[in-house]
Amino acid sequence: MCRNGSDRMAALFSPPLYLQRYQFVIEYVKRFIPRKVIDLGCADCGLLRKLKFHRNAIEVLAGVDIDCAALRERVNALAPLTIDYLQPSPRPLTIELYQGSVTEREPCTQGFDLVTCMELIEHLQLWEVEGFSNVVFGYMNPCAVIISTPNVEFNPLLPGLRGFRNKDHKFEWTRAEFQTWALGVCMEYGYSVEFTGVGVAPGQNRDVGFCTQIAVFQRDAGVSNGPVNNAVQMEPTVYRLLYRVVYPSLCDNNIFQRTLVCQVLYRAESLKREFELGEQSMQSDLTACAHSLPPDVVAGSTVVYRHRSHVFVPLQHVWTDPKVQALCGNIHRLRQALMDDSRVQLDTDRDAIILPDEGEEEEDEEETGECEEGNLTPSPVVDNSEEDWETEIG
Amino acid sequence: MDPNRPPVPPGAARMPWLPPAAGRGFMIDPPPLGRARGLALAAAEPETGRGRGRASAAASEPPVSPFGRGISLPVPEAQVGIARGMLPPVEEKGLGRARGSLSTSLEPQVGMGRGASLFMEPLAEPVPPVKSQMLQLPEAVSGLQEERVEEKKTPEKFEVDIPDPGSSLVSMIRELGIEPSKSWGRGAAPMGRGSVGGLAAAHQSLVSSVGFSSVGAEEPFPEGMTLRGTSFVGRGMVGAGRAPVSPVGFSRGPIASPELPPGPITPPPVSVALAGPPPVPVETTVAPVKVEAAREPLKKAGTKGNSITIGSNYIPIRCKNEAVFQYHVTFTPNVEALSMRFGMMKDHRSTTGEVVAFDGSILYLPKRLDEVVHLKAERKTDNQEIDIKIQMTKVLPPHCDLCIPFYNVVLRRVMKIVGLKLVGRDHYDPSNAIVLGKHRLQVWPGYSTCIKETDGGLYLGVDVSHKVLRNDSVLNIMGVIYQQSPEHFQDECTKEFVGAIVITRYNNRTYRIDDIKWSKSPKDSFTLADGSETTFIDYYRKNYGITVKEIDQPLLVHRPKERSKPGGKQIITGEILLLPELSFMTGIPEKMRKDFRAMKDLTVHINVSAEQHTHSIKQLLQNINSNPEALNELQRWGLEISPEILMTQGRTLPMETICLQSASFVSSSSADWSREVVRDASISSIPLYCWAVFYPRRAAEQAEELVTMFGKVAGPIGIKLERPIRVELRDDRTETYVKSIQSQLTSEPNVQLVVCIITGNRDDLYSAIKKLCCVQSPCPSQAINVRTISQPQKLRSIAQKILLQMNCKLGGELWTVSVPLKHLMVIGVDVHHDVSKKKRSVMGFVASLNSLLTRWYSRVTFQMPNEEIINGFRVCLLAALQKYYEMNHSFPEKIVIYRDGVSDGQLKTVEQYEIPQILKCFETFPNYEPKLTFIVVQKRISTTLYSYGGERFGTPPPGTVLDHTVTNKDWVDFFLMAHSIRQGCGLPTHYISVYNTANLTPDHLQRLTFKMCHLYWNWPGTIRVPAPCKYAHKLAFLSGQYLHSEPAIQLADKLYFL
Repeated sequence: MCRNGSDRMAALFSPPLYLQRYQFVIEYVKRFIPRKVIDLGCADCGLLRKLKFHRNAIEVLAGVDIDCAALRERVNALAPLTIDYLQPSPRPLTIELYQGSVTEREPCTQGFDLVTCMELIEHLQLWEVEGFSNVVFGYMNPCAVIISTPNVEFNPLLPGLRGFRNKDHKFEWTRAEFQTWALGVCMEYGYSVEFTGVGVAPGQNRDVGFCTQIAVFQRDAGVSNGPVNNAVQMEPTVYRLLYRVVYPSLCDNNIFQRTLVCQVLYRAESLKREFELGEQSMQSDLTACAHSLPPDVVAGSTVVYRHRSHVFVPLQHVWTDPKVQALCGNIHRLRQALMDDSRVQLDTDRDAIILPDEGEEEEDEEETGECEEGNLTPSPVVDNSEEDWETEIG
Repeated sequence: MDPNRPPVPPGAARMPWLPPAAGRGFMIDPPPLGRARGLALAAAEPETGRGRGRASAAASEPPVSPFGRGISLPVPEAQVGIARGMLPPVEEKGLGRARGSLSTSLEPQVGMGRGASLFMEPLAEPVPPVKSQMLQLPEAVSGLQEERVEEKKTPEKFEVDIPDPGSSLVSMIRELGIEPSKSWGRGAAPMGRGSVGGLAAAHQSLVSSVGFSSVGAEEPFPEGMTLRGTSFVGRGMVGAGRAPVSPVGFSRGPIASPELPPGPITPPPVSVALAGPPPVPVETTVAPVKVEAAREPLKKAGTKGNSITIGSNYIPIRCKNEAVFQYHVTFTPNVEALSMRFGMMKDHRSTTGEVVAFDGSILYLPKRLDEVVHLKAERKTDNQEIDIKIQMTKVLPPHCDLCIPFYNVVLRRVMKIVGLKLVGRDHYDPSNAIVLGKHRLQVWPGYSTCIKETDGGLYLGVDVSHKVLRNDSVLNIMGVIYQQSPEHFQDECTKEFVGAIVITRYNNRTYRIDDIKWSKSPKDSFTLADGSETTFIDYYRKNYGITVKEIDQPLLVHRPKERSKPGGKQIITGEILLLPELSFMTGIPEKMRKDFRAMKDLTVHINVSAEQHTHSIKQLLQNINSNPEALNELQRWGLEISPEILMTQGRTLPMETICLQSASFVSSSSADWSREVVRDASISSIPLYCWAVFYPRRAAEQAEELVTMFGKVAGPIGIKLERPIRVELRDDRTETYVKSIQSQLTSEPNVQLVVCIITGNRDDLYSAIKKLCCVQSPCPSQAINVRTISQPQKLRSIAQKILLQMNCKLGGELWTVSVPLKHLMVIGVDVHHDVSKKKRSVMGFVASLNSLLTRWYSRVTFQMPNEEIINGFRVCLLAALQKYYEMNHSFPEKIVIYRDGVSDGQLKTVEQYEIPQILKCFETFPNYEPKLTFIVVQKRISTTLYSYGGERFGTPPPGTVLDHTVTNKDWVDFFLMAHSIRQGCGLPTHYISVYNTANLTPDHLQRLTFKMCHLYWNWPGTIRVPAPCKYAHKLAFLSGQYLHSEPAIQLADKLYFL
C-alpha cells in the first residue's frame, strides 16, 4: 500500500515518496536502535527489505498484511544472501511474515520495540480505526509507533486527482483530523506524539503541509500495559505465519564453532607454512644443522616446532590473529572452544594445535596411472566378421 | 544492486507475473525465454489447422457457421480470409466478413498485402486457381469494407456464434497431432513475408516455419501492434535462429515494425488444401516431403551391440492439466508502460486466478476463460478508464514447448521452497556446506535443474553440482597478492581476478570480472537511473547500510553482454563497477588448481560416484514430493514429478579390434591397451638418428637414466634409436634453454627432435620452448618435467610413454581400428577461447589423410572475438583436401566432420550458415561433390548415465550408447560414453548429426564415433571424444595458450602438438 498513488506523485518527488517514507523509518531505526520491529500493512515487504540492510541492532523483523498474495510476491527477497552464509553476522536476525488483520489481537505482535504502520489506516473503515488504536497501542503496546497517512490538504497540488489518492482509501485526513486522533490515542494509552511528514510542497504552497503526514508515538516512561508474559502464552494465535527465516549468525553455536575452527585452522596452517619455509631455507644454508629442536626445550614454547611427524602451532600464535580475537574475546575461551572439537587436535597441555606434517607425503598419483590389478578378463565376443558399411549405405 | 542501474531491479517491474526469482531468471538467461517465444509462435500451427478445418467445414455447411467462428477467434479469421481467395465464391462472403473485424486503418494494407501475395504466387508455386481468383480481388476488398461497417453496428452478434469450446479443443488437439503443420508454415512463409514487407524477392521457399508462425501470431491483433513491436526484437531473433535460411529470417525484424499493420498472410498451399474436401489427405499431398519427414519422429535408433539397463538423471514429469490457454490482452486506450499493464492485470486476479504468466500482451493461464473477457481498470496517471480485453488465442497441450518456461519458473520456486539457494543459475544447499577452512573456501552441494522436452516427453533434468565459494573478499585477496609481490601487484591482480566470477555482499547476483579500474575508487561518483550523482560510498551506505572501509581500493568492472531486456525495449550496455571489498570470489582459486594436494581435498567432495549421484537426486525428489508447499506450487500448472529417475535400455557397442603393425587384439572391457602397445611394434616408427636432449646441470643424472631407459624399451615398440646429442645447461633460466636450442638447431640442421628436461611447473619456459620449436625453428619437441622421471620404479613405463609420444610427434603411427568406409576423411574441429576474452579465439583443425586414419593434417586459425569461425575453417579444409589429394591422388568421397564446442542454440546456425559454406568450399575443385556428415560434439552436458545391476547404480562400460528417450526431438542425436570411468560419474558425450548426405545410418554414426574414440595416441584406451576432436583441442590449446600464433606449416602433417 505504500506505493499507492506513486505513479502520480513520481513526477513531484525525488526520491519517490514511498522511498522517502522508508528513509524516514531507517533514520528512526538508526537513532533509536530498536531490536524488534514490526511493520503493519507491509504489502510487498518493501520496508522490511530495506530494514534488512539497515539493521543496526534489529534482531526480529516482522511483517503483517491482510493480503496473502502481496506478501508472498517478493518473499524470497527476504531470504539470507549467499554472503550471509559465508560470513555469518555476529547478531541474530529472524524475519517473520504473518497474514492477518491489524484490528485483531495477535499475541505474537506483542513485545515489539517499534511498530511501523505506513499508509495503512486510510484503508480501514473509519469505524475500524478505534479498534486499530486499541490493538496497536493498547494491546501490542510497543515502545514506539510510526504511523503515516496521506494529508488530504495536499491533494489539490496533485495533478489530475479527483477524490482520494487511491480507490481503496476509505478516508483521507487533514492535519487537524490526524492530530486530533493521535492526541486522543496518546491520552488514552499513555503515549506522547510528534508530528512530521515527508513530501514537501513545491514553491509557495508550504502551508498545505507534507504530502504524507507522519506521527511518531513514544510510550510514556513507566507506563506499560505490560505484556503479562504468562497471559500471552495462553492466548491462541489468530494470524497465519506465512514465512519465517532465521539468518545464520554467530549466536548459533554450531555456526560459531565452525567459523572459529576455520579461522583457527587457516591461521595455524599459514603459520605452519611459514615455519616450513624457514626450515627449508635453513636446511639449504646449513644442511648439517639439526633442524628439530629437542622436545624438552620446546615444552611450553611460543614458537612453532616440529616433533616427529607433526607440526605444533602454539595457541598463543594463533591468538594473534585479529579475526580469532574478534570471535573469542580471550584466549581461555579459545582454548575451551577448541578442546571439544574433533576438527582440531590439541597437544596434551592444550597449548598448541597439532597439524600433520605433509611435507614428506607422497604426492603424485600419476594422472596417467595404470590399473595394475590383474584385470585380464577375456573381453566379450567380438563380431570379427568383415564389415562393409559402404553396401549398407547403398 | 549495480550502481549503474536503477535502484529498483528492472526485472522485478517487468515481470510481476512471476516471482522475483522468475523475473531474474528470465533476465539472466535469455535463451530459454527467447526459445519460449519462438516456440510460442511456432505453436501457431494448431491454429492454422484450425482455420483450415473450419474453412473446409464451411464448404459443406451453411456459410453462417464459418463466419461466426471466424469472428470468434481472430487467428482463424485471417487464415480463413486468406483461404477465401482460393475457395468457391460461397465462402468468400463469410470470410470477407471475418476479415472485416480488423480495424479500419488496416484495410488498405490488407488489400495491398493480398494483391502482392497473389502476384507473387505464380512465381513461388504455380497454383492453377490463383489466376482466376486474381480477378475477384477488387470485389473482395470492397466486400470486405462493407462487411466491416455492418459488423460495427452489431458487435454483440459475434458473441453468439462461439463454437462449442470443447469440440474446438478436441479438434485443435487432433489437428496438432495429425498434421505436419510445419509444412504448412514453410510453404506459407514466403508469401506471408512477401505480403507483409513487400519483399517480393524473398522467394526462397525455405523460410522457417517459425518465422511464419510468428508473423501469423502477430497478425490477428492489430490493436496490440505497437506493443508487440516493442517486444519484437527478441522474437525476431528467435525466428532467425531457428529458421532454415537465416538471411531471410533476419529480414523479418524490420518488417514487423510497430507502424506496420498486420497484412493478411496468404499461404497458397493451404488454400489448395482448403479447396479439397477431406482436409488431411490433401494437406499431406501438398506439404513438401522434406518437412513432413521432420515432423515424424526421426530415425535415430541403432541396433548394434548388447542391450544394457541404464538409468539417467532425467525424471519423468506428468502434466495433469488438460491444456494451457493462451490469451491476447489488449488495453484500450493503449497503455504504454508495461509495469502499468502488469499492475492492471494483477488487480484482476479474481478473474484470471493466481496462476498467471503474462508478458504485457500475451497471457497464459492453466484455466479456461470465456472466449472474450472485458475488464475495466483505471489509469492512475490520468484517471482514464481502460478497457482490458482478454481474448483466447490458443489452446496448448500442457507439455507444449511454449509452456516449458513457466514450468521452469515454477521449478525455481520449488527449489527455493525446499530450502535451496540460488547462486548463479543453480540451486545450492548452504546447510550442508562443506567447509575447507584450510583453503578458506566452502563447497555447497546443489543441483542444476531444468525442465525440458525430449523424444521421450517432458522431463526434469537434474544434475548434481557443487559451488565453490570463498571466504575472502576480492580486497582481502588483493592484500595477500600485494604482500607476495608488491612490484607486479597490478599484473598479478589482473591474472587472478579477470575472468573470475564474484558475488556481492548486497545481492545474490554473480558478476564476471572483465577488468580492473585502477584509476577509480569508491570516492568516485556515478549517475543513478534518476539522473542524480552519488559516490559509491554514499550509494552503499544509503541503500544497503554498508560502510565502505577501504576508500582507496580500485574498482572491478563487469561488462554485461549486450542484450535486450525482456520486451526488447532497451539494450543493456555499459559497465557495472563493483567494489573489491564487497565482492567475493567463487570457483576454485587458480593457485589451488595447480596444487595437487589441495585439489585432492576438494575433489574428494566434488567427484561423486554414480551411487552418490543418484542418491542426491533421489533426495531432492523426496524433498520436493514430501513438501506440501512445493507440491502445491507444481500443482498450479498441473505438474507432477515422478519420485524415480528414468530407467531405460541402452546398448553397449561391440568391442573394437586394435591393430598394431602385425599384432592385433580386441580391446579389453576396460578399454585399456597400455600393456599391448609397449609389447609389440607400432604401425610405423621414425628412426631417430639425430636428436638432442637439453637439461640443466642438476638434472644430469635423471637425463642420463632416461636416455638409457629409452634404449632399453625402444626395441619392442619398434623404434630405432641412436644416442642423442646431450646438451647440459649451466642453469635453468628460460634464456639459457632458448639460446642453447637455437644454436643447436642452427649448427645441426638435421636435428629431428628436441627433448628438454625442465624443472618445476614453468609455463613461461614451456611457452618459450614451444614458440621456438613450433613457430620460429620448426622441429618436433618434447618437454619433460624432471619430477616425472625422478622415480626409478616408474621410469620404465614413463619412458615407454614418452617414446610413443615422441614417435607420434615425428610422424610415426601407433595403432588403428578398422573403419569399413572407403575414401573417407575424418575431420576434428575445436575452438579454444581465452578466459580473459581479450585474446583471439583459436580454432584447431585436424583431418585424416589416409584410409587407416593414421596420418593427420593439422591447421590452426586465429579469429577475433565475434569473428565467424567458418572463414578460417574454409582455408583449413581446402588445404587438407589438397594434401589428401597429394597423398592419395584422389579426393575423399566421404567427409565426416566432428565439430566440438557448439551449443544447442548454435545448431541452427551451423546448419544454415556453416554447412552451406563448407559445401561451397568443395566447388573450388571441378566436379567434386563429396558426401558430407557433420556431427556436433558436446561434452559439457548435464546428462549422466548409470548402469544398474544388483540394486546398485554404477558407471556404464565404455561403448554405452543411448539413442532414444532423452534425445533431442529436432535432431538425429545420441549419447555415447566411450571412455572408461575410474572415478566419478558416467558422463557421456552428446553427438548431433546436423547434416548427413553420406547417409550414414544411426548404427554407422554411433560406431564410427566409437571407433574414432580409440585413436588418440596419447592414451592407450578410449577417450571421451573422437580422436580428431581431441587432437584439434590439443592443437588449439597449445596455439592459444603458449604459441599465440600459427605454428609453422612444415609441421602440419605431424602430430607435433601432442
